[in-house]
Amino acid sequence: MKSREELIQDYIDNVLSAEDKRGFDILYENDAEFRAELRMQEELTEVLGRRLSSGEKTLRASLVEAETTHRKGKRISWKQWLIPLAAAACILIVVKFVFFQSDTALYKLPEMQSEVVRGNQGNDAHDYERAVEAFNAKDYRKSTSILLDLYQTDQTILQYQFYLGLSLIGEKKFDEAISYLSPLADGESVFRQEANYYVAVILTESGRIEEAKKRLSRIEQSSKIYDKAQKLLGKIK
Amino acid sequence: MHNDQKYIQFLLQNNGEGIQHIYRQFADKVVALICRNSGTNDDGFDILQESLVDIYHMAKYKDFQLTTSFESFLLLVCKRKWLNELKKRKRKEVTNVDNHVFDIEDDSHTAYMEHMVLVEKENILMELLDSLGERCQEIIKRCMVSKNQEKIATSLGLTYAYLRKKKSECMAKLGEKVRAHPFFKSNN
Repeated sequence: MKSREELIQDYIDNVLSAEDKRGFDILYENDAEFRAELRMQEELTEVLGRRLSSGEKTLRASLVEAETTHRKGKRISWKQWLIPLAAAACILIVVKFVFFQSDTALYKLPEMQSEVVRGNQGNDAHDYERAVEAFNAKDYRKSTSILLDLYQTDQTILQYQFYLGLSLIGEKKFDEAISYLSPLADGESVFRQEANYYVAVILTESGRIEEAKKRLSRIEQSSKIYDKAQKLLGKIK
Repeated sequence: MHNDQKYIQFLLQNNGEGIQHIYRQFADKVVALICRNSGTNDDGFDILQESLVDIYHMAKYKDFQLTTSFESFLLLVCKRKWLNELKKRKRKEVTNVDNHVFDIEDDSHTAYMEHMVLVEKENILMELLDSLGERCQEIIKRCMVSKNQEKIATSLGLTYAYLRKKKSECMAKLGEKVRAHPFFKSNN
């Protein structure tokens, strides 16, 4: 004879035998405590099942990562970063002037055009203009933040996605930038040619020269970015 | 739909960049709030993380819609969580708490109350599960995420019949703990 607890679990898991079902029914009919226990166990099972397969663990990993990044950003004082920054700037200047005198133009991000996207949609249009302002002032952190919001609001507007990718390049977040630009580069939109070019720039920066060449060779002659693409191709060959 | 609903989507989609954005926008405000109320920076970040997880559960389980700004809602959840934490630490007598900071009986917030109480209840259940013996925890956790209990029995080196028996004993133990917990006593 099974215990009350076993009958309850067998019922919840739908594995009650015909014989046990009779015992279960008798208890259910005549015992209020049994019914209350069954209700509670059903609720526990529902909550546990939901919580244990909720994906909370993955979310926590992202939260920890975001917290670490945020706190790291706060903790570094100006004294700590000033010297390495100055050193890095000197190296960069030397490298740029000695080795890559003409690369600046090839890597330069275009100006973001001020315009109304798909009809004037109030807040979105206003935010887009703020993004234009920040992007053109090279405040890429700010433009990324605004463009990300816009992109999340409407992922069908590819213009948001394109400039978000470029803004991330401005922030030197190349992995993230490529995740936004690659679908455009592989797609059929008006951003295809330019997206291919900037994906190639990222690939070049990452030392993935062969992939960069492939991207650049896809750019059509009729494209306004074709000349730049050819120059970059010549540079990396 | 409230414009700030996007923050909820960031959590639901586990959007890395979106979550970074949430931290950039709101972390300092939450940490400052907790620090002003007898907490430390670490407390602030812990409360923020736990509150974001709570919001995730609220949104995942039910069709949760923001009726205020995300910031206002997040601060409300954080305040409530911190108050519960202070109670847990038996530090109700702390003197350095802002006046009205824990006054959460605002009309605009009552709509959220049901969600918050539900999540708190579930959080307590998960804590109670973690207070069971390791074997019970393992059996319950595995049986709840997979329906194939014969396979679970094999992987745990048990017979199917014994697994069923153990599962019912463990669930009964959990039920006892739930009944004995002050939260459930006072909410029944």
